[in-house]
Amino acid sequence: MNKKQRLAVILLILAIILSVISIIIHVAVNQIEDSSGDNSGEENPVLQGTIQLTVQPSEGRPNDEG
Amino acid sequence: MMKDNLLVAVSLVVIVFSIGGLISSYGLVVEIVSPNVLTGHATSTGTINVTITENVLANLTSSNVNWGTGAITGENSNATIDTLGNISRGNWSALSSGLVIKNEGNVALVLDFQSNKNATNFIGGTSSSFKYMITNVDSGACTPPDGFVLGTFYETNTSTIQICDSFAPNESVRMDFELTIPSNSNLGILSSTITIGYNKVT
Repeated sequence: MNKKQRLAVILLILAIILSVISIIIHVAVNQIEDSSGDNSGEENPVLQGTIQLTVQPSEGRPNDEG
Repeated sequence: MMKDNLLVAVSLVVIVFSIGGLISSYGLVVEIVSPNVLTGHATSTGTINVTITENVLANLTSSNVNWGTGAITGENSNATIDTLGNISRGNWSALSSGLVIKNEGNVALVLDFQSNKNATNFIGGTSSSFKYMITNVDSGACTPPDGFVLGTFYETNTSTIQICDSFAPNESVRMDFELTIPSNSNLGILSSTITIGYNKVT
């Protein structure tokens, strides 16, 4: 393999690496755009909370009441 | 020799295309990362159109109100507890904060409230009560619908109630609860799930 052939191979490998990076960036950007689009498309967003207490029998009340 | 030169030339063309693709990708990333950054030089007059994406988002600072374990004290017929720090005729843990809802988006929201249980289903017994109250944390945060007064306790039922006609961006409202627990209430762990629905003002 002479010098020019070696240079061509190096350039081709470099081109492949750059192309792969470019494809990865495009895919990532598309995913970000898709996910942000999904959020804005939610029609009925809700928040949920819980109101809780534990009630023990009061004085003079049998434990099995209720 | 000619073939080698051709190979190098083709390789150079391919790498130029690859660099072009990479530059295009970089442009996309810059667009995503800094969509509001504008640069340019106007020579005389010009119009800049900026589109700000609507962000419809609200958040609860805490999603749980829990008074813990307690009972009606003495021979009282009921106890009243709330999230304003009051415990009357009972020995539950005092809570001094209800739920705080914040508009984290950049548009005004309509807020509605619903509970999966009313007082009878939640607490049971005779004359039990399960009330809620909305107050502004930030002045003017919530514009309530006609007939709904901020700072007033209302009995909770299972139907959906609109609580804010307009909930301003980056502002907060507080939701407090007051329970009346009769001596013949349900026993054990009692819980109710509340749902705050929100959407942008149309």
